[in-house]
Amino acid sequence: MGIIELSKVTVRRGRSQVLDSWSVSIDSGEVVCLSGDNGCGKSTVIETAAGLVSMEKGSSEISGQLIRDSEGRRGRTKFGLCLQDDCIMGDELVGERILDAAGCDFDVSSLLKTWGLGHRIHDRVAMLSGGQRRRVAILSGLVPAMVSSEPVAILLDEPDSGLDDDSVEQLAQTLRDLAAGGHAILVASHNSKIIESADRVIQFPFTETKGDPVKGKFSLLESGVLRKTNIGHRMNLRTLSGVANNGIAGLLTLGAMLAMLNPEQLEGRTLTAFILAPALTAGLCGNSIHRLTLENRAYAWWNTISAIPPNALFHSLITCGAITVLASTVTGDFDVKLIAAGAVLGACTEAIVGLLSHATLRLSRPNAVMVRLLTPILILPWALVVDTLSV
Amino acid sequence: MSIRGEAVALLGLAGAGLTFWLGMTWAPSVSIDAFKAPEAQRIFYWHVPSAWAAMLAFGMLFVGSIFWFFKRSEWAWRLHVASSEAGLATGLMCVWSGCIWGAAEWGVPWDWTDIRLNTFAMLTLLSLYLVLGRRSQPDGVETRDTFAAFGMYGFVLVPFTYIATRLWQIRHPGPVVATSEGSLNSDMGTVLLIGAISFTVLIIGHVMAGMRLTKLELRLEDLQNRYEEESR
Amino acid sequence: MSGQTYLIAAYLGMIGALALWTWTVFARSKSLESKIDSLEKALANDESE
Repeated sequence: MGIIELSKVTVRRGRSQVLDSWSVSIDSGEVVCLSGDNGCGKSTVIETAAGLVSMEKGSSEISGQLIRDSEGRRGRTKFGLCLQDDCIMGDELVGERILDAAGCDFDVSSLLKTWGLGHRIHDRVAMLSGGQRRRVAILSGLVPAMVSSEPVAILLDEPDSGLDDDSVEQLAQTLRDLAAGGHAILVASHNSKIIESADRVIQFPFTETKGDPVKGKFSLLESGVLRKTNIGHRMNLRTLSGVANNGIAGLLTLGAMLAMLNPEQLEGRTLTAFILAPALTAGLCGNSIHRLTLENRAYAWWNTISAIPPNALFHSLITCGAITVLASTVTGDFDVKLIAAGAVLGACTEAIVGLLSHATLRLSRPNAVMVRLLTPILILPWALVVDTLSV
Repeated sequence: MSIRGEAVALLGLAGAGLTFWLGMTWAPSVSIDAFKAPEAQRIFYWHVPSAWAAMLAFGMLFVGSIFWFFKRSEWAWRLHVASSEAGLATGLMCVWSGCIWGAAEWGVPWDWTDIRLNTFAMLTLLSLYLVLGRRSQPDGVETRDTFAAFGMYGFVLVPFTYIATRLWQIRHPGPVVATSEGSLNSDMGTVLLIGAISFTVLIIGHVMAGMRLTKLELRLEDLQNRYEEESR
Repeated sequence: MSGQTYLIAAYLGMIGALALWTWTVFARSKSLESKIDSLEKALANDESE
């Protein structure tokens, strides 16, 4: 059994069948290149292997672990991925992204220097040129293998697009070096240098030719402690998107209510509703990190790292708690139970709205659907909490 | 000769018209002791049948969603599309008439703590989301899977709404038919029954017509693709 | 507002919704059928040429 194993996969995209009972097996130490016309299905093969696309039939396995099958079963394992979209949020830092991809600490600055990015290690990806960003995306796909002595699968979709000739040569050599280290590589490309680096070339869908590439030399990068990503919370601290997206909405709600009502005259249910309304509004604004992950289809890459979409829910607890404290302060009714309820209610509401948005990511135009239409249901638990907690 | 959905829908409309006429002219008035706004009570004769029709539509939406999602049935997708539109129309009718009747009878058009009202409104909003969302996307397996998934999960609200009045009677009245506690006047019951049958026929006709429309849309797209290919 | 006003408002809204819904079904059906007819004619003409 190969490191990368696609078994009789049938995939539909849009209204057409792109893959029909298609199989490929890539062994340890092999580089297989998919070549073919635009739109023939090469990207679909890469995304299917990565478990990003649902299949009508068949299964995808990496390193013996089921990634996805037609029954909807899913699993995760370590592998490298670089899609046609760069899949990097603009506010990620160059060095940080490579470390997240590796999943452990290592000497990232030396690696970046060899790829001409050493001076950009602390820069945000949004500040880079297109070619530099592409190199970061490629390194994200290659680095899981670079730090591993065990065979790792690498999936690359048109990695050469946007690269200059020198970078393409460096990439081709790196692929050979990684293959020499026992890693399995599936790459979709038209570029002759990449094709020359392959042990097998599949002219999509079925014509296969053997290559005769130059042997490479693998050099393992020393790795340190395992790294927890917490990308959502890091991004939230860096961009303050939680405050901008959710906190402001809660504050505006409080402000609007203060303009219309005299908090000193409120009592009972109305008072409780006044205190909890800002947290509800903050929650209804949804997962602020979700919007960031829409940039360059970053959500697709992060989906292969974790089943839980990037989020900053712990920060939301704090934000919604703070807004409830503020609302309590202006009413003079400081109740710890209410503050805790506001924090939890706001965070849960945000999580649910975030999940609803996440559920639409398979669509061609996820921004065009009005997920907010489904959010009024969340007023119901809020109303029940208000009823329960009001004296 | 196959029966056209439009013809069945028109039959249903005729029945709904008859229900309206009977409700306004023949059904007995209610006592001023039992109802705060006795004239407004006649909203009942379309409000309840539209709720029933909406529930039927949501049920068909569920069936269509399930069979598309798990069996990739084209027929089921057409049922999903048609029943989401039917559920939207009848759901809006029920919510609209309910709010007005609520304002007349309870003094407030809505009650956020009433589970049945809110889950029903949620289903109506879900169907609005499905109708608008689907129109914003190109047709394809991703679009169909996504909206079928929403259709399936949203349906969980239907039995919940039905049970809600048996478990949590808060403000909205409980069931008055098919229960031992019901106390509906027989003439009212007759008009209501005619309304329920009419709206059932209406919704079936509209769903049949809607399914035919989706089939026509797909045929149009296929012809357009064929025309473009042959023009090259 | 009197009970009768509520009654009229409720039924006007429901009748309006039913009418709009029914009209859209008939209008879409007509539009689709005419587009399909013209495409089929165009394809038939191409084939005969």
